Amino acid sequence: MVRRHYPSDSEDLARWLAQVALGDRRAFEALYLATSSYLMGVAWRVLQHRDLAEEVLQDAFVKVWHGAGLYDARLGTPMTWLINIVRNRAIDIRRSRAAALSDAHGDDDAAAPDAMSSPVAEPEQWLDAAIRSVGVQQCMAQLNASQRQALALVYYQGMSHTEAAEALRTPLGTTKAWVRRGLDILKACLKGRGVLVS
Amino acid sequence: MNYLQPERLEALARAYALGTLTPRAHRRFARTVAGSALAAQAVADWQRVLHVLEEGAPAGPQPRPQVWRDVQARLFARDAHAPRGDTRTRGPARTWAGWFGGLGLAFGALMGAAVLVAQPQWANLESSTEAAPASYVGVLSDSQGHALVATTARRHGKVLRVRLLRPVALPPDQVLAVWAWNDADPTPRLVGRFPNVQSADLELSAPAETLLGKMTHLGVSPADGGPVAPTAPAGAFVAQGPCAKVW
Repeated sequence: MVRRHYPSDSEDLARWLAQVALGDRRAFEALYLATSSYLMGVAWRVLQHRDLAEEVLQDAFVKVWHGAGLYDARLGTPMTWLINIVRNRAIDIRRSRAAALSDAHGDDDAAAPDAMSSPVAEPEQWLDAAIRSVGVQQCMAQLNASQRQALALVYYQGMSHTEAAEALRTPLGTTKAWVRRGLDILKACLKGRGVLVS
Repeated sequence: MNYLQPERLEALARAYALGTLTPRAHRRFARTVAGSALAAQAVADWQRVLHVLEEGAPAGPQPRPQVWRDVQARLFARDAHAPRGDTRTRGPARTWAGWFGGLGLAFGALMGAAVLVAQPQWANLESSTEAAPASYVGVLSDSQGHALVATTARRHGKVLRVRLLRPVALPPDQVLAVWAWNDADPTPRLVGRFPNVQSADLELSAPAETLLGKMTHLGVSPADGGPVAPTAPAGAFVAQGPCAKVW
């Protein structure tokens, strides 16, 4: 499995963001070079479509240029802030262009999901990989299969609860409960193991 | 409705961070987040949990170079009159005429007949410009001897403008680095890095006269795009060639 890692030095990212807020294009370029590959993965997992993921990335960096001053280090790392921008935009596009995306997947080979250097993993496997990568497999073990499945669909693919319920062929209320409970368990477990830092 | 009631806030913050609120509810709660430190903190707590889910997830395809060019075009295409010494990267929508206007006659002279023969229309553009200021210029060729990169910097300026005359095939996660050296000391010294775009401006650590005045050659090599600057070319130069003071 190919994994992408962004620079661990949040100080660099925070400094570049501060400079971008002042209109520094070189800092903006540095920020792009350091984070775009990683953020592309975030968008791609939601959209499963290269062109749309690149559109998200483009929109996100335009937003970063205009809104870098809104980043608040007290609330999280620069990467968390950037991921949030990208993921929200990807979800917007996923929902507003669902029909187009469906057409592209079904009818247009050129617009089909791009081949990766490793086989496309299922969202549930991504969740498993994420938990393993931070060394808290015990947290994964606390989630039951339904919770893992529902959470993975909603998080990685940006599905609404309704979409996830349809995909899992379960009642909407049940799906919501799986997601909610799964996240609550995950949060408590990660906090308990010191994984979540401010 | 009091969104800040603890249980309600926790549920809304979780759904907001996860992206499962309806668009209307999302917008409504966004206003609450903007106006309440408590709500902002609740959302941030959940965003940190979700951030963990990105760790170790498989990579998607790399963004193509066009994405960065498009970002620049959307943001900076109209900014064709940046101040002298500006260190910022130019957008690709910069016109040929505008670019050549900045280069002037000194660059045109060094580019020589080969480029003008290939692109005779450029001569008309050149003829309309005024004489350029004292500059440091270079034309770098690929291994086949074909001009590939043009560079220019004003004598007292702190910006080296780099122009790709043809696209350079490069993995998407790589950028290009400019190196300089002279006959007496052939060790390449890093001038700067730029994305694989048609035109970029590199900030110099000192005026061109000081930094490049004694240099006789420039080279461009692929480089890692990470935050740590390379100390030596990572591979063969994609272009290199002589450069000269024109003053």
